[in-house]
Order: sequence, then C-alpha cells, then structure tokens
Amino acid sequence: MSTDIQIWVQALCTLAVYSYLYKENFAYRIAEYTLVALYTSYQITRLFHSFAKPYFEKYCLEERQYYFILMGFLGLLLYFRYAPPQYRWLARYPIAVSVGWGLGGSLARSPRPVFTQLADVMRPLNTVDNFLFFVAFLAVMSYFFFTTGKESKFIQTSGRIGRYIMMIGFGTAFGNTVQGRISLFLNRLSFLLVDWLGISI
Amino acid sequence: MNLMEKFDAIDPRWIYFVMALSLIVPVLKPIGLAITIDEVTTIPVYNWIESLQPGDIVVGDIAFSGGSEGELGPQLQAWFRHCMMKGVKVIMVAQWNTGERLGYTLLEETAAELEEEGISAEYGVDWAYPGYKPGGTTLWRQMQLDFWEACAEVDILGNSFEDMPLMHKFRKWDKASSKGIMAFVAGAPGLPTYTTYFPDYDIYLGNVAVQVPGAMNNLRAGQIKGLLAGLPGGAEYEILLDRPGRAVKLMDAQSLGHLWIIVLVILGNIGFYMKSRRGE
Repeated sequence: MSTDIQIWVQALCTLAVYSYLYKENFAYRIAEYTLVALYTSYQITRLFHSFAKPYFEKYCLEERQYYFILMGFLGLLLYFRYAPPQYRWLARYPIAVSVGWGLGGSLARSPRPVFTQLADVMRPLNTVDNFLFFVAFLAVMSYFFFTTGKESKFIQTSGRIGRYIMMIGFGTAFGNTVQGRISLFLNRLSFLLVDWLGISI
Repeated sequence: MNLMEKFDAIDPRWIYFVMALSLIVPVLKPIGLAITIDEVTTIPVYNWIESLQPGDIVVGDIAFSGGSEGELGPQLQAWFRHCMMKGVKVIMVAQWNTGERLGYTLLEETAAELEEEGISAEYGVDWAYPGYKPGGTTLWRQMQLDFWEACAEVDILGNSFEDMPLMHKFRKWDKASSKGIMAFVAGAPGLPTYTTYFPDYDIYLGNVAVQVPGAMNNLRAGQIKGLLAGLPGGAEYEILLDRPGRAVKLMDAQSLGHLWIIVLVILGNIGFYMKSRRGE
C-alpha cells in the first residue's frame, strides 16, 4: 500500500465520489465541493501565470502596446454585474464585444466543415455501401419533412424507416457511451489497485 | 411476484455491484481476449507517424481533462512514445486548461521511461509543451501567423522559447513546419477548431468513445485522416508498438463490462415487451 499522502488523498476522494452510487452522503459532498474550489483556484492561478503575467510583461511593458491594458479594463467591466443597479449596464459592453467578435468569426469560418460533410453526401452509387448510405440519408431526411405532403403514405413510410435508422445510430452512440464510462471507471480502478493498494495487474 | 417483476423492482445498487465485480475480476485475473486492430481508424494514425522522417515536427493538442484521462491518457502516451521512437518532434498545445497540466505529467512520465530505455525524449529538444493559452479559436488562428507571439514566447513552465532549440524550428504554425496535427479530444473546444481553421492540414483524432459515432462523419468526409477511438484505440496502438501497456491490460474488463450491459439491455427489453403485452 502506498505511503504517499498525495496518493491517499486521491484514493479517498475517488472512493468518496463513488460512494454516491450507494446513496447521497457527506463524504461525496465534501469531495464535490473540494473539486469545485480546487478547480476555481487552479484556474485563477494558472491563468495569471500562463497568460496575464507573461502577456503583460511581453506586450505592455517590453513592446509598449498599451492598448492591451485598455482591453483589460474593458474585461473588468464584467464585474459591474455586482455593482449597484444603476451601473450594471456597463457589464454589457464587454459581452457585446466578445459576442460580436465571436459571432463574426464563427459566421465567416464555421460553414466550411459543414459543407465539406454535405459535399461528401454526394457520392457515386457504385458500391453497396454508398447505395445504402444514400437510401438511409433520404429516409432520415424525410423523417424531418414537416411541410405539405407529410400525410402521404410514401413520406410516412420513408420517415418510419428513417426513424429506425436513427435508432440504430443512437444505439451505436449508447454503446460507445457505455464503453466510455466503463473506461473511466477502469482508470480509477487501476489507480486504486496499482497506485494505492500496490497490487500489480 | 414472478421473476420478471422481481427484476423490474431490483435495487439499482445490485446492478452497480455486479458491474463492479465484472470489472474488478478481469483486471486482477486477465482472460486475454483478442483485440482486433481497426484498419480504418487506428492504422492510418500509426502509418502517419511511420511515414515521417526523424526531425519532422507534429503538433498535438490536449483537449481533455481528468475526467477523460482513462480513455485518452493511454492513447496520448502510446502516440507520444511512437513519435519519440521515430525521432519525430512533438509540440503540444492545449485547448483545455483543465487538462493542460495532466497532459504534461503524462508526457513527462513517458519521456522519463523513454530516456531510461535509451530513446531520446529531451524536453525542449525532442518535445515542447507551450500548453494552454486563453483566447479560443481566435488565438489558434493567430498561432498560424506567429506561434511565438500568440504564446507570449513561454511554455507551460514559464521557460522562454528562446531557450528551447525545438521552438526555433517552429516560429510559425504552417504546413511546412508541421507534418500534421493530432488532437486528443473529449468535447468542446475540440476538433471543430481544426476542421474550421486548419482544414488543409493532415488532422488525426484521439477521441473519447462517446463521440466516436459523430467523428466517423469527419473520417468519411476526409476531414480527419485517422482516429483512435476510446480505450480500445489506445490498446490497439500499444499492440502496434509491440508494447502492451495500461490500455491492453484493461481491455478484458472493458469487454466483460460491455457484455454485462448487453445482458441488462436484453433483459430490460424482454421485460418491457412482456409488460406491453399485458397492457401495463
């Protein structure tokens, strides 16, 4: 069994988190709140050392690009959300800038990967795979056909087939989700067995 | 009360207990179930590194945190080991700050093992870790223009890029300086950063199993060239390297756990069908 205190803390926190499977309890709550607190403090510290400090030193002090400070002040306006009501509107400015900037960037670039996939749908029907894909694609699309003609027998049948195809897709996603969750547990399990208890696997 | 009604009323904690047993036992007593290597997903990643020349640079991305380490950690370590064995240089960025330090620790651990085996994995020379830089996709775009400036010229440890020989070969992130991108992704931000801003690059993906069905669309459309899928992806890569590690050891448990879930799904469906027939 490990004599490293860090390993012990990890192991006890792991067990505390899994104790939730039995029932909600004090140990789980402690682990949960500790994680949130650690995460927040870690974020602040890391961002200060990996971002705020080097960028400030490099660009503001060395290169005298003082507009970085201006953007810093703009960001600080976010805290006006906690100011008296008559000043809270100031918090909207940094949000407006970041949303506008983000939206502009997304609109300019985001369609490209989607269109790449859309183009991939247009495949020659020269293999069974491609033919099946084409039929499945039409059937699934017809499931989402909500306008005139949706009462027709053809669209309804096609939509039903589309629904089954989607269910197969969801089944695949579920299977992968289960696999993923098991992997996460196995990781913790191997930590408990190997690193904490010292059992070789 | 018949058997099905008893199953229906079972305490879920028994299910967890049996699941835990079906995972713990094969970890302690491995069965040695076969692991098949996927030609479509895993092999292209392996062949990509095999095709590179010593001294070539690839960029890796940590876009996951501790919650996904069980799946992506073994993938990352196996891929990094392969790169170092081939003499391929690795520069790691991190889209997730919560996984930044974790990724560094995993690579540091692997690098120490490699050094012990006589394979060069010197920090700053064979690999570098600029890590997480805030700014999202906009900053990643900036990295393409001037990598040093975008990173404020410091790595995760605060070392200056000036003092790192590898970084002198990587002032700008373009197709000439990097021979591909390997993103280890557990969510957002993740792959779309690369399919959107780096569409002409050779992109490879290490993905958590949950997201693999979605990533298959990217693979089919040619947006990514290869894919390591969850823990099995890591296990397959370890086998390709002929160095079974953590992922291979856990695959028996993975398979038996999955089998238990399949049994439960079948039982649940039978129960549902029987209740439907009775009009409940």
